[in-house]
Amino acid sequence: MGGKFEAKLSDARIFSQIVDAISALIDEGNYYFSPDGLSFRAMDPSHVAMVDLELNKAFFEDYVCEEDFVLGVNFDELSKITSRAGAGDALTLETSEEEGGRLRIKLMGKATRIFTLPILSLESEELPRLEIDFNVKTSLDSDLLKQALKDAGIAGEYVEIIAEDNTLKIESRGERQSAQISLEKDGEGVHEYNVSESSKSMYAIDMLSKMIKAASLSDVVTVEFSSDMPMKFSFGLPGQGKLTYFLAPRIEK
Amino acid sequence: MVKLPSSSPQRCVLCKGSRMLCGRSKCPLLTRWNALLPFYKKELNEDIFGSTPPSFFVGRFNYPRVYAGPMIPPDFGEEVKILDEPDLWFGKPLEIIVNYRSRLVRSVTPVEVKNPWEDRLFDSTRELVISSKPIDVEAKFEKPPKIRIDFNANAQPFGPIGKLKVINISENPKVERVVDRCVHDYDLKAGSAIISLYEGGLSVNTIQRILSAGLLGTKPRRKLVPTRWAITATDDVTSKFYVNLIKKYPEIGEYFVFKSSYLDNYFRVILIPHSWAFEQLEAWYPGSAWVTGKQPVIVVDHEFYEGRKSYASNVSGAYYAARLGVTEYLTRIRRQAACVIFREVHGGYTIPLGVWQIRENVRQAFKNPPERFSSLEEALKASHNGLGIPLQYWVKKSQLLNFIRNQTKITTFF
Repeated sequence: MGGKFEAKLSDARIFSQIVDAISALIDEGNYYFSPDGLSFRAMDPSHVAMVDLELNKAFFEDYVCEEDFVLGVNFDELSKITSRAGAGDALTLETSEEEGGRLRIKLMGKATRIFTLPILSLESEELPRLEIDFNVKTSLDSDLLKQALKDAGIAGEYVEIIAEDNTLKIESRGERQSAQISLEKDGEGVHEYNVSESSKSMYAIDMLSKMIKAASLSDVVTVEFSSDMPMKFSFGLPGQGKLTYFLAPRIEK
Repeated sequence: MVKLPSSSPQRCVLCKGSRMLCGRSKCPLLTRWNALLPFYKKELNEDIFGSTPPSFFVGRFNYPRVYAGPMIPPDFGEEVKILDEPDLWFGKPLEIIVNYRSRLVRSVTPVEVKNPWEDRLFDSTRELVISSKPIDVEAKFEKPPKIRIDFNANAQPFGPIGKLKVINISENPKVERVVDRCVHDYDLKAGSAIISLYEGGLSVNTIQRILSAGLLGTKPRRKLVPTRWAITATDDVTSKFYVNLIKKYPEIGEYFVFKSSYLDNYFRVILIPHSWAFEQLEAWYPGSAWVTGKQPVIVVDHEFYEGRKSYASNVSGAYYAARLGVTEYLTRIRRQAACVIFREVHGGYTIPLGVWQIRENVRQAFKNPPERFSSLEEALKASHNGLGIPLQYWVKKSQLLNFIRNQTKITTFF
């Protein structure tokens, strides 16, 4: 890392929420910083899910990055620091050369708090961007989806998600119980509902519930999937940023 | 009100004499075994002179005012060490183990788990707990200890018992440096102390003894820990430490199958190329310790990558003992894997001997080279050889296999 890097945010808590939403699934990974912004892409340890974060320069109040660099972090360590951000705190990220490279995180409120964190050198096998044309695309209130997944979680470990012309059904079945949640195309909280082909697919609820943790970042979530294909959740972030999750389906043999 | 599991055969396997799910105050199965056993015949009087291995027991009954104290055989010498060291017992027949245990006379003093050392009699036993060698003691009991033997699911069986009146330690204990350091460090958390002791080469049983005697942890939190809880705590803390190491290692390249059997317990350990996860399935046959009905009873507990949040209450202490054996092996070969264990408990395992048997069976399995396979189906088929419960039944009960066989990976869609 050579050039100067500094990024400033007036609301530290949004950064803290992003870190939390990622750390629900990811242990460690690489941030890629460039003069235009930062990106992060990583899989969970079982390689079932992938997180893709893009934050443009505009997300920050102030963003200076003179040249591209990679910053590996452990999310447990990072989230311990960012979760200390309180209401009204501002945040600054900087790199420093000390001890072979450290990330300096400044939280500024009534007191100025400076934390440093080692920069890890992780195997930087860059993951490909996942581009899939899905048959179902719907945007809905993220809390609506969150509650639906909570309901489904009562009955079983897996959900079957079924998209028909006018209805999205979320079903789960356990040994003794079952749950079924229906969302109508014209229902309250459903903003967009496009189905080019009726689709049906199964996913692990515990993974979906980790993905929906990002509901705290955005009121609306876009959900995309096709039969026996991954499920995609995307959340819009300030400055045209985006947090996207992909989850591989369960295909019963 | 506590709701009892409706089917009673299942109930005894889940309870293992510890939760009193049947509503009785005393487990009828435990009582039956006590009556069946060949007792140690040596006559005991009020005075017992002998070498303690060292051995120390903390009861669970009446917690937090418990009965605790050293266990002393009326025998001298280095040989007594084996009486309380399950790491050395693998392969020995049931009668030998029962004999070892019945020779240990359990001295008890009623004490509060917090500040037990305020009792001066009890305080005088503290130094023998940390001795690395058998230590000679003279004990005087209020009455001649009653001859009997006690069984429970987690701990090894226990012998005669008597209320302690006076105890004299007739030599200075030898204390290993790591033990001395952990016992005297009042800022070191119990969990970290357990890891230090384990890394220092001490056995689970030794650590468990020091922990149960309330000699580990930060000063305000030190207290006596009932022996059976201390055993599981030691298995849990040490194996969790290894799990965190394992998560950094690359996955194994093939499916491995390991086998072991002892005391009519049949173990199959299957390692799967996958991120860390663990599951133990147990089939208890009619005639085995906790089965009262005519059908085998199957119990299961599992954890995925993140680990458990609650106690593995179906398989109980055996889960943690087996997990230690597995994580020790994976740490040794510096590889990550998901592990499924099938355990069949056949009719010859009539009395429960404690979780050391599970730990040692699993450790033994890893002493032989694995059978290697390129697919899960082949590995499962090979592992099933010699087991009695149909394979499809095991597979149906397994949450982990259900997940691994049906869950696709995101990399498939790149």
